[in-house]
Amino acid sequence: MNDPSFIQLLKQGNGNAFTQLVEAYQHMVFNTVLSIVQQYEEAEDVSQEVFVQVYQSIKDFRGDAKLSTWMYRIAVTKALDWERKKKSKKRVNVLKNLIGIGTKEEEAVTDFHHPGIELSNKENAAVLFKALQQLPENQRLAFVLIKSEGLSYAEVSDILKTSVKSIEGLMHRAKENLRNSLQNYYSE
Amino acid sequence: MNTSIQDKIDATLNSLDNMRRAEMPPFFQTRLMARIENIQQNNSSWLPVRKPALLIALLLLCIAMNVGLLESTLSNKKQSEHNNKSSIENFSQEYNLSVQSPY
Repeated sequence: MNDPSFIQLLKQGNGNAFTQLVEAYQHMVFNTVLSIVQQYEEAEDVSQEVFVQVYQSIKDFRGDAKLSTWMYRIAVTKALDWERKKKSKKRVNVLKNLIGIGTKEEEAVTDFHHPGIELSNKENAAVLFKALQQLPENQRLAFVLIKSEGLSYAEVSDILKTSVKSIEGLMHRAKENLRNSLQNYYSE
Repeated sequence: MNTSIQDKIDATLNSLDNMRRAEMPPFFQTRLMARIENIQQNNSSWLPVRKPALLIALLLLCIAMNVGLLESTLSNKKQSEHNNKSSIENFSQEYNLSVQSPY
């Protein structure tokens, strides 16, 4: 996939090359996005946005990172964009309800069950995914990419454009924060 | 009690170990290609500007420019008429060509 001639074909808008790219990376993109947005249908929609972005901006791909690293960056950015939009929509709805022009749309809070989790871990994983939502963005991304995608610290440092040392720091703080959050959850 | 909570926390923190990748729902490629085709069709539309606010702003700018141009043409015309009139008066005064009324 990182073959320069393949990338050249993609840049020329070759349909077969793009189909191969989607075939090769669709699960990677979907799993990454799903682990961040934690909603199955929305994750597919965001994944489509990722590939549309890839299709439109492949000509700007300079090749100084691996194709997969570049695609992880796009996937992470799109997933976070989706989250921000969702949060701002929520704020507008709260404001509308306050001044009495909103529609009372109560969003059902349901546990997220990742389809790749073993049955015996399903309940614990749902609790962990909920706790992950409380983490600062960078800590969450590092945790998700390492745990959900099984990437190494070095790979995550390439994706997040930072050093391996800072990824180690992010993971350490993420685990600490999760531990505190879980402590509160199980002590209630 | 405390140990049991700690065990639960450890089990929860380790619950993502050995997880499998979630797989994209079937026929994703078909839906994606339809979306890309749709975007391409919209991009090749005759209208060069797609945002309504920008379109309205451009329209207002166009109207303002036309009004400005019309006003400046009218005022130039008035000015040239005035100039024309005063130059005839000057000429007649200079050569004493005023017509005396016989009455």
